[in-house]
Amino acid sequence: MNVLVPTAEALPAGWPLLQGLLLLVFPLHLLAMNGLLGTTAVVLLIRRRNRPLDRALAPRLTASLPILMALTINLGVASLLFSQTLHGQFFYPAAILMGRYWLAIIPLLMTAYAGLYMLDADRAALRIRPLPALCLILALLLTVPFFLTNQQTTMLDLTHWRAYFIEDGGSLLNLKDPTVWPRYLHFMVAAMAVGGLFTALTGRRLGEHNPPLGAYAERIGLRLFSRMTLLQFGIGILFLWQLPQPVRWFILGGNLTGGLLLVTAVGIALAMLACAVQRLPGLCTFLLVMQVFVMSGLREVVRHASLAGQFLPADMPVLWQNGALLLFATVLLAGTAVLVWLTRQAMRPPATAVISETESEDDRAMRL
Amino acid sequence: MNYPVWYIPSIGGGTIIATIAIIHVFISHFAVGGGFWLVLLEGCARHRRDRPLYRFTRNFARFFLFATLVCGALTGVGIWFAISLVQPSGTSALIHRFVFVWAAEWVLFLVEIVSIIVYLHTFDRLSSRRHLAIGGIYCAASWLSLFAINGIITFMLTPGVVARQGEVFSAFFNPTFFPSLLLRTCLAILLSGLFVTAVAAFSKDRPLARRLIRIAGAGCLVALGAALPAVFWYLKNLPAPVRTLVEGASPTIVRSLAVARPAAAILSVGALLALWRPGRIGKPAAMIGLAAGLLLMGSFEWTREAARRPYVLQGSIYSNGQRADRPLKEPFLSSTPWSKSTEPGRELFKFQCYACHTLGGINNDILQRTQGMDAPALEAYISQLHAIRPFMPPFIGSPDERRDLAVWLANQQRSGSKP
Repeated sequence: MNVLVPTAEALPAGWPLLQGLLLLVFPLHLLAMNGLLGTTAVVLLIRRRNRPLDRALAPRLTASLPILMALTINLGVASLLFSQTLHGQFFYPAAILMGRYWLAIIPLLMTAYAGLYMLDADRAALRIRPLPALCLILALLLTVPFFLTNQQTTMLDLTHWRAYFIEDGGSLLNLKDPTVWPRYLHFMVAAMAVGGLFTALTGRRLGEHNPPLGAYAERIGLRLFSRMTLLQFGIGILFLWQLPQPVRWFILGGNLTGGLLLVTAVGIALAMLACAVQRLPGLCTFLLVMQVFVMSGLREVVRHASLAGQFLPADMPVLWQNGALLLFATVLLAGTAVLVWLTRQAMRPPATAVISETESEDDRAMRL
Repeated sequence: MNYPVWYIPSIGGGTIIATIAIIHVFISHFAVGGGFWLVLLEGCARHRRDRPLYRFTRNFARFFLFATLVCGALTGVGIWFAISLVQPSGTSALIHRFVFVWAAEWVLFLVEIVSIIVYLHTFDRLSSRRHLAIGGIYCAASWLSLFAINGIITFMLTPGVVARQGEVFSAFFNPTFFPSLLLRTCLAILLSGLFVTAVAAFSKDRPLARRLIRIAGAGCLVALGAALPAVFWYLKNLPAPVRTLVEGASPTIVRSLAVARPAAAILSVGALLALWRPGRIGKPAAMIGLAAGLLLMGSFEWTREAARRPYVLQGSIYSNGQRADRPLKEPFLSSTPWSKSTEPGRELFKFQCYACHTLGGINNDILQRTQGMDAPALEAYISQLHAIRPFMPPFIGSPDERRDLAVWLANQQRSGSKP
């Protein structure tokens, strides 16, 4: 056991339960984050092309971005919470080693978030030049996962921790780790694929009222999705190749769970490609959600293999907090019911049917 | 402490936390009270069929969503990021004790986000009853969010009879839980009333602005009035050593309260003026009101933080991250794996002083605090530190290590005083 690894605190519930909660919220965070990043890239691409259909599609996609951002942050909070509970002894030192970059994530996100709202609000006024604004927002959004990738790999690379004795000012990125760039590229290419799929789904919805626009969005979205999924095979192999040999062996047959998850992931990726070619965005989405859950499971297997010898989940002390757990379960159930109701309200057709040409928007609202 | 320390001596971790925290508490209390104002104003507008007020409420909701989601939500995450870097042991202890409370708060945060987005986007689409219900859900979720976080924050100051790790509720409903909840609810109404006043002051519709300022002034006055007994209740429930600090033993708290009193006076006079002559509240007055609100809130948080010293978790973890049950004479560096053996003085400063003191920086500079003291004087002072200044943690380490720290500080004094 490395002496630098801090003593772990007692867990408030059994490891499988907390790990299950992490594996529930982290894939949802990934889906929202990938949707945000990829769709921002799609908006930038179509803004550059600036053809009539692109001009019509861009504001529709832009309107979703602040909402995706809000969900990304919220689901990221839950993932951080469970990750810190499970792996705090690795998590905090890794963040401290790169403290400057870790803390920089907040202003970067804040600027990107404010930019997305302004871009959405500015649709009619056109006071903001969308292309430079989008380039800046995308650059910020690409920087944040790069820092997170460094932090997550630092958690696993304990040999890198000794660099703290030379530099303790929080400016240590884990750039010498050969897995950093493939891992980062793996996430970014996945984000572009999800952005493509999100565009295709938006097209499916738009097609009900504007068939040419809907068909166009679906076509460019699925094309991006299939190309990025194909590219992911290459990146995935590169990432796998760069993993330390014992870890690589662990998921290539040394461990049944790891091997099964890898085979399932490859199978789902092939099925997604076939669905994209067949223009089935709904089925693609279902497979994608499954894929993100499978890949998140594989990520946990890699984490455990990388930290072998440093800790064993079964050895962690546990002090069950049954009352608090029950409270959380109740709030989660009630919150889910409220969220379903809220979503239904958002989907309701407007109650403000126009009854007179001369009636203003305010008058209609007052009539309700 | 068996965590590394993120060392930026000219700025200090405390400064970073304070900067983010002050912005966050200001916006997050606005987020709690603002929902109440949105529902109240929309209800009034619909009841009286008041179109200008309805339009104002819709615009205010847009501003509210932008401010609370972009600044409020992210500065909240920012505090968490910052405390993870500066106080990892305290953060880890809190997370492991309250993880399910935090997880419940996360669900409430999600409900807040979704309800305020749906509220804004369905303004002219849903019936009055449904739309106000969505606003009501936002109000409930944001206040319950405050309820959850309040239990964790107050536990840090007044854990009461220290509960076992597995017992969450006795730790959560600690002695200052309810007074703090009442006080924070009042502050939330007050701050959001100040924001309503500020936005109204910028409105071109002067009759509407006057009406709004009068309503907001009444709300602020009620909140200020209710906050006063809450403050006394809060003070009454503090343990004796903490109350001694608040009543004057801590110079930080004395300075902080010196800011709070004029801020409260300005707000009281301003609220009365808003009720009596709302037309007099223009843009400058509204901005002064907001600034006074920020100072009052900042002063309350600063006082609470300072009152907790010398602990970050009362009775268990000192503000420099060291465990309170650690023997004081035990050699420190040999049992601190993240320290270097080559510079013992610097390492002792980093692990035991730096959490609160900068080195030549703007906040609580140790070179200023120890000006004119030579190494022997410093060594004697360090050995009696916690007795002379009860809000400081004791020095942990052997006599040799105490000497190393004193010599290093004296050397810093000399090099720092060079032109």
